[in-house]
Amino acid sequence: MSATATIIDNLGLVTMRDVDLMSPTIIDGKITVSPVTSPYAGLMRIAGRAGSMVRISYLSQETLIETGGSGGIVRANYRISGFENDNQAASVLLDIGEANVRIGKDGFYYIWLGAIIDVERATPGGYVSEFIIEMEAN
Amino acid sequence: MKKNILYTLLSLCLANDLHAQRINFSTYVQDETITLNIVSNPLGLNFNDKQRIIIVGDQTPVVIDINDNPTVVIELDAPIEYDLTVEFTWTPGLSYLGLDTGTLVPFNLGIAYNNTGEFTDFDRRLAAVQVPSSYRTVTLPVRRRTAGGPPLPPPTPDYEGFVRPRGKAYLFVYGSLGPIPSNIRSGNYSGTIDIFVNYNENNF
Repeated sequence: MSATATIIDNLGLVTMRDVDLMSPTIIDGKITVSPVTSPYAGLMRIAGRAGSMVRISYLSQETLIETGGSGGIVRANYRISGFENDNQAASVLLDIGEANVRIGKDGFYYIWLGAIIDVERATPGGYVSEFIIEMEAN
Repeated sequence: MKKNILYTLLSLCLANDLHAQRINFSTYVQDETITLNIVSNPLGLNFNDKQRIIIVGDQTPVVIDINDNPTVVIELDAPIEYDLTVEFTWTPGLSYLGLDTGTLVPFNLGIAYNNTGEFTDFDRRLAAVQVPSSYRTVTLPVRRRTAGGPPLPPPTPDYEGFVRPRGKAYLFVYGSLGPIPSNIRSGNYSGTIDIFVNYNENNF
């Protein structure tokens, strides 16, 4: 007879800073926030077991419709970069939509969130969205 | 002295009247089989059946109690007058994929038995005797004998046409897992529990 248990890693994700889409200048109808270089990038931190692999998946493209019904449309393209320390400049762009990363020695992995927001067809009003990221320990 | 020995030998040689008796006998042995049958949770003790999500580093042990559904119930079927000796051995911890990785998840086994003949699983669990954690061997009669009264008559000797009465006793296997070490990798952990049942010959 056997005794068995499936044990899973404890993963946590904390949003440390939201992406700031208000401050950047609109150039050619687009707001661009680079996850690697922009100070307006969002920052998230994954906490888990040091050295373990984590699969990250996220929705990379999204179309937002103005909530007041004016017909305005905003298209969002999200990109993320990551690094095992809180060092944005050293972070590397992760694959679009899905990536495998390794938790650092301190038990953390940092993710910066950037976006290219196409506001050419936008009308004044409200556009609401949430960036959703899913994680899975390997 | 020499004379005396000679006289005895002579008297033996002189005996000419011998007597003998022929006795016919045969043995008839009934079925002495002891069967073990897992009647609840035949796949074994699964701690995820008690707590679906078990997380690395969780300091609170996952405890499967005798009254919990994941408890493994084993039915022992044996001649009713037998005393059974049940021996348990188990790995001290669960290891990753059952391999020797150097890190074990602590695992404690709990054992209880019932030999009082209740009709339902619920009643059997209520009346079960929980074995202290330091014990790994228990000897139990298949059917508990009543204390205080005179001893029962000896078992009926076997003869052709006699059906030896059999009875059922039950073993309950449960236990606790954890605390889960914080430095282990995620995955499937397993260990082995071996149960040996013999009838007790009461040889001292």
